[in-house]
Amino acid sequence: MYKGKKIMNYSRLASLGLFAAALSVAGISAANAQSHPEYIHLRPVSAALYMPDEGPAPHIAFLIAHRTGNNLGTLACSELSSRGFMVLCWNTRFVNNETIVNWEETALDVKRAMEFARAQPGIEAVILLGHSGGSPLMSFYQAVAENGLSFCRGPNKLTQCGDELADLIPADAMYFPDAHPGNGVQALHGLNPSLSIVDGRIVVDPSLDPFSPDNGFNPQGASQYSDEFRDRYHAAQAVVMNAKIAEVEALRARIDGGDHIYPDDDIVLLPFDAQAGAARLDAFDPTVPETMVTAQARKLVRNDGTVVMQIAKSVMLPKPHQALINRTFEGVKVLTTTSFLSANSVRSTHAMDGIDHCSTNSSTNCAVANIRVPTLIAAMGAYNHLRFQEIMYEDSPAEDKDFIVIEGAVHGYTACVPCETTPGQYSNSAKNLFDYTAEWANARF
Amino acid sequence: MRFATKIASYAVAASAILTTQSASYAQSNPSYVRLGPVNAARFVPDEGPAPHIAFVSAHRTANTIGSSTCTELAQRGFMAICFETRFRNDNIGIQWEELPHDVKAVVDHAREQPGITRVILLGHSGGSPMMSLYQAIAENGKSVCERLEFFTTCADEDYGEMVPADGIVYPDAHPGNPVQALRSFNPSVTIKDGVKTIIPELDPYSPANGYNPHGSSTYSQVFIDRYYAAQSAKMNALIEEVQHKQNLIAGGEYAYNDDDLIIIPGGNAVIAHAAPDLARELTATRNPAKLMRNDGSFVTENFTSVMVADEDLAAGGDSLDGSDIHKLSTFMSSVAIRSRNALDDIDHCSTINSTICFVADITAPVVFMAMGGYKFIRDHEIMYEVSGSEDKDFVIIEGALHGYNPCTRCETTPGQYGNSTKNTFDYIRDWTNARF
Repeated sequence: MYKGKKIMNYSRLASLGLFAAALSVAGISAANAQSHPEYIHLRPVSAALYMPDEGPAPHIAFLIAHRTGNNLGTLACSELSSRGFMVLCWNTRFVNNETIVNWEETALDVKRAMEFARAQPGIEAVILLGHSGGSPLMSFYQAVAENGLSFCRGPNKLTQCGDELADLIPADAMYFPDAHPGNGVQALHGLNPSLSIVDGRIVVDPSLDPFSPDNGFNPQGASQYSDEFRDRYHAAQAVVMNAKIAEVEALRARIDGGDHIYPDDDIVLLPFDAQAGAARLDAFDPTVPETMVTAQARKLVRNDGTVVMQIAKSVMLPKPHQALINRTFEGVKVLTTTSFLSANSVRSTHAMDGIDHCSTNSSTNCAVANIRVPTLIAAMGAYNHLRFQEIMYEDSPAEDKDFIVIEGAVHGYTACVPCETTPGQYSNSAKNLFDYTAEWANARF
Repeated sequence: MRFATKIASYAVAASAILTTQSASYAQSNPSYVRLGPVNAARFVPDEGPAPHIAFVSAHRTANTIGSSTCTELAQRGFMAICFETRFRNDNIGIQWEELPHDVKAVVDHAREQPGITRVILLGHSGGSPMMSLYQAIAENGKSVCERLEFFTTCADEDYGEMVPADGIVYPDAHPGNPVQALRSFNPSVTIKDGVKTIIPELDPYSPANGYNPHGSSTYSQVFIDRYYAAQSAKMNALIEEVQHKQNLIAGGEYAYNDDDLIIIPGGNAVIAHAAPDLARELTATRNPAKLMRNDGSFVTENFTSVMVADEDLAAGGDSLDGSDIHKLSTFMSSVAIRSRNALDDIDHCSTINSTICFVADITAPVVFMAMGGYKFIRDHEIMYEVSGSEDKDFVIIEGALHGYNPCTRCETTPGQYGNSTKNTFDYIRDWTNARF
């Protein structure tokens, strides 16, 4: 019925999030099978309320959302409610539309959901679940709630929050199943610094081309980029992003000064960057240590449910097909000055180890470093956020914090079947994740 | 933002949402249902016999789940399934030919519900061309949307078996998004290479041409005639421009190998919104029609909308917020239409996004319901005239806005149109129960 045969559909699914894997593998059937989720309209938020089918009335509520993805039927909704929790899965006012995002406003939608959850009879604790694009969303809300408006204002910020974010009610805990470092960093990592458009044609700088075999690209399998190339590439990504920021800030100044054809905003195109065609090197060379490996021995939840301490390495497979999308218009992020500066940019000197995370309010890493409630960070062992989540854990000031890696799980929690060397090798990934989550939450609240 | 949602998506149904929250909470506990890329909410009556009729309602991009529609229908004894398409909140990305997949998913779901023997499509505003396309295909086969005269077709889609609905209700349908776009283009504005130019004699926001920001504008007939012709010329020029770029792309002579963006500035420059009195060709019937008055009684008369001019239509006309933004591909599938005059010389069947084109191919029982405080009066009458159904009806709801609620600005006495929402849904109820 839904063929998804066109390139743009891949892009949309990717931006929706998220995770297609979780939705298509287990999400749809689970959503239909579990209980009778109730549609709740919390204008401008739309939500689905999941309750346990049986057992005692829940006293813990999870809130689940993505900044733009459709999360009403995502896997976590049914998995957590089937483990005894109330779960409110909801969509922000910016669902399915990255172009119109005004980042700071997203916290108002979290506020709406939080107020709803707190008002439910019997609910004593509320936990924010930040997955993927939901991680900067939820962590931004919580950091502002805990620290006040000073967190989201300052000369170092690309955009500022308004007074409407005062007096947010903090959550009791944070849960990050495969958080990403933030949309700005995601955009930075996705840029292809070898490409530019000159006189309507794409021009390639061969020395920085990630899709050149000379630089280690393999169109048939795993690429192997050298340390020297990666370092040069990541430095160049920072240069491109900084130049774009300067360009857009100048445009914004002309708009604010009344010296532009539009008085309110303008379209900003970020070519060669959209998620479906992102030119992040770990998509082609899944062994790169900057993102795919933990720096220290960490808790790895193995498929049999046991937990071992070891250096965790992602088992993700390469995605050379992304190279085909990178140069298309589907590889272009269509933004405005507002959505670029507030949600799709970050200052840096180097895309891996020189990021000024707190230059943007859309940063999980920055926000987590300012959150003190109990925090559980769970990296999926077949995706590309291992190291950045480990950094979140390292930087977290919470006295009660935990970090685990789920063996063989894709971004959407389910098993990476193509990654398996024996059938069923990672088949328990989603169960293991949510079992761990339930135990973690019940131990605290 | 108009290009994103605010006017083009939310606003069309916004007025229907005025009663949303309280009504939504009060009625039942609508079940959330996920059907692939579709979000749906299934409303059932709080009490009374189990329904055997299910309504299916959606807009092409807006979230109508929280609108009053499903609540009002459930309160009248029906199952009602309101849903969001895969293009929720995304006017830039909408590929029209993909929408029947989503309607099919919900119709199939409705037919699977215990006790349901009849399914009725509800096509309001941007939902009307979508529902029409589905039903036309379901009744006639996919060839109905593969004709060569369409700018884009559904030839590449595999819809599988589509079961036709048993009836269709059109409470304030519109003729199709391309006609909507055509009549809202501002032909006086051009932006090229960062430079904006305005043709003074075509400027709808110029007092010199009769624009009044505080009431109904007083354009001359000469200006109006020139304007409608210029809107058509602008559409034709944009089509030519887009097709030229698509040819360059196909020939490998473009920066991207698949698509690009097109921005159409100028605001929502609709003559009927600035000067309803000067758009009688659209806001009045040509023949006597059935009017449901506020007290629930009916009269048959030549009808003219009580619509009043928008307050300051020019606001936002200069902004990006007031611009239409599309991809080249979505422009061709959701905006492009052939015409020689935006008022009355339109080739409706040059696009598959056309209520008027496809109601001619639909034979199921159908009722067209124009809101008497809005602008689609003649469009509904045309749909009624061209409808291929033997069981067709046309009614006008006195004093109702696009979202069914009363046009209080149109009232000469308070509460004059206070029953408009109730009347709309009572009529739908009675029309439905008389047939199924």
